[in-house]
Amino acid sequence: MAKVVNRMHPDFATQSYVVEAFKGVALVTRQFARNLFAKKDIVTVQYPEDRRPYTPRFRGKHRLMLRDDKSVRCVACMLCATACPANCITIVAKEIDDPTIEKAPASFDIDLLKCIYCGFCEEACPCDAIRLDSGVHAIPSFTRRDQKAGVINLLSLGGVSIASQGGEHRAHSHEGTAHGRSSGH
Amino acid sequence: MAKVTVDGVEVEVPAGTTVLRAAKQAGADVPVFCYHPGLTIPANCRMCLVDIEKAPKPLPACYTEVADGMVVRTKSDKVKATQAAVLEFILLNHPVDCPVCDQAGECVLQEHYITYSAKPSRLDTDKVGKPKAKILGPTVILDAERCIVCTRCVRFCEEISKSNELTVESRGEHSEITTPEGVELNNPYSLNVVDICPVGALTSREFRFQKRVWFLDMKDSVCTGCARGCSVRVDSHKNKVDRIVPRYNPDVNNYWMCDAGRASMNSRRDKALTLGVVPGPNDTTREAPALDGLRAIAGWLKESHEAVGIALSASLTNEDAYAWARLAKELGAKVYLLKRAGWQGDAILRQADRDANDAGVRAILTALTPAFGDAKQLVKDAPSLDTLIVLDNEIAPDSALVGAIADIANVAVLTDLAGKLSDAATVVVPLTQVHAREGTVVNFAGWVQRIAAPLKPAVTTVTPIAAAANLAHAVLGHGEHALALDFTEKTRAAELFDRLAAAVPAFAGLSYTEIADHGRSLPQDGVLAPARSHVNGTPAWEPDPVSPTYHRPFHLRRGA
Repeated sequence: MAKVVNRMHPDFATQSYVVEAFKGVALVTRQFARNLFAKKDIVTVQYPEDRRPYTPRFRGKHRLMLRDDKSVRCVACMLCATACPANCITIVAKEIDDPTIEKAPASFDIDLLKCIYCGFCEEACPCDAIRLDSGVHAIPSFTRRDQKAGVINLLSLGGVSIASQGGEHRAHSHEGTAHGRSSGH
Repeated sequence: MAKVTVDGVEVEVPAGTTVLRAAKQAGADVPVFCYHPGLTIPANCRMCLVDIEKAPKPLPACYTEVADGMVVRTKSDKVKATQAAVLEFILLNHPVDCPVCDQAGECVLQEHYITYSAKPSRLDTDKVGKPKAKILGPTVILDAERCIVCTRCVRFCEEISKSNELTVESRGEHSEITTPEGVELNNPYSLNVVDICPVGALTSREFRFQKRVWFLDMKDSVCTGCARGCSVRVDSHKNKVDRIVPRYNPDVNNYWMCDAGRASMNSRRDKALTLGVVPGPNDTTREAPALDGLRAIAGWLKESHEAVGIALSASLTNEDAYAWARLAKELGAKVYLLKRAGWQGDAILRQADRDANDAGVRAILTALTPAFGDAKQLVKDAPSLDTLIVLDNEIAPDSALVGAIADIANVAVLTDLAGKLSDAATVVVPLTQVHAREGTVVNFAGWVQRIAAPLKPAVTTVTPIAAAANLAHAVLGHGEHALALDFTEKTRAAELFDRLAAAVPAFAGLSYTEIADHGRSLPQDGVLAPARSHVNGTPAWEPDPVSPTYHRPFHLRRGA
């Protein structure tokens, strides 16, 4: 259905722009003077020297978390790779000596060009091993190969995780994980 | 016959049928752990308890035989409470380490827990610890904490492999599957215990941590390790075969297959040829794709196809053998049938003859080129041959044969694996690898089954059918034989099988679609046995209610 648009009908003084031009100059001058002496509301950030803080929910480059003994928390269960809608995670598993953990990633690759930073991997992870909370923005590079984040690359953003071990046993609790003690991962 | 009412549905079953099977016939699912249709029934897991009218307490459906007029309830509140209680009991000491457990995704315990319990644990003391990652033998590894002591594996070793390696030690919650002192689980069928283990207690050392099962693409196929031709499921991912597991087929292998059959995939993994060899200028050789090799062979044959020998392997599929037998007939070539080296057979499944399709290839050659010889004949004829084409060189490494072949001027080997014969050949043509080639094979008892092709072929390779069509076109294309062949490079095994069935009396009446997943018998004395679905008046052939195919990830079973 047709809609009536109410057009403005400026008077002659406005249409001549003489007055309006001076009004505009006055506005800019006032803002300039205020920012010069009072330094109040500058919107521009002096990137890259200054950077805006990201919100804590910002999903940036992935990092692999560590256990208290500095081993990788990941047990190569592939749930992240299963949840990943972009199919960008490739994990090769290996066996480790610790009988309570058994499994660890031999390699953990993320193709950052394919990754859409949706965060499904960190939601799927039962061990709190992968997070996208590093706050590091997607990094440009000169070659495609550089966009493959290997395990070392991912660990460099890690650090000791503060999260409680996944599946922690809570006595007398009927909530939370279904079956009490897990094997410590 | 007994009339039984299960959940309000009345079914008529023969006397002696268990309640479990009667319930299945009535369309009711009764969960089980310890029951396996191929083994005896111990009724120790108590998961299949059902409510039977006039019985004071729930009875195990797997063990209780039906009686006329029996009324069974599988979904009453009493049964539901029982099932949840049994699951809570079974899960009491279970480590729930699904993220690192290879069984996750095809675990019966996971599925039953979600379906019949889904309640949190009420245990607030420590769980009973047991050995983890305990090596039982060369093929199998045990996680005793995950074990629910259903004793399927113990019964398998007692009843099927008859090697008695496994036993249950201790009592109650300390029960543990173990081998007697100084004994290891080492028999030719050991990996079957991994298939029948409903949880992740017994896992394959070969497959351990290789792949999460939900990634696998599962295709029904046939094991080509020996003349038994066990029905198998080939599990692959990203164009690589990850494991081969048996598929229920009452006419061939029941529920089982041998370890060597599964290992046949490992001997082939990553070894398939993608490039062959052709002679280059000045007595050099160079690597070349299949079409270059075929061009070189066509060059020889165009010069002369008077003294040509074509040696076919008895492991070829019917379609490949048919295509090459047709080509040999048109060329007037002599045909030889080469065998693989045999092995020790046994009374369970393994056949001494290792060729997957000896019966089929023989039947086809008898019909098309009746004067075919064997390897000895080839050695004898070698001096009189100008050209020899060998198809698939996975044959007995016979030094007399290799020596005889060295004297022939032009030797071409078409194969997917390098071997002694291909080393001695002038031209090697890379064939499409085995798991990328469809076809049918006939086992020692005349049972025809279809081989699936889960993998994608490499573009530089060629199938035997396409190779035969290519050569026929190049050599005979413009002469009187131009239209003599009934296949082209594009002909698929399915089409060719139907033409083969029309041309070879031994296959008369069979069709590719009717072979289906289960296979069919070759006609005996010209009479084709009815397909399994009509045998004994059974309405339709269907997999056993609790066969290993039940162990499929949920996403693959949905809608099935």
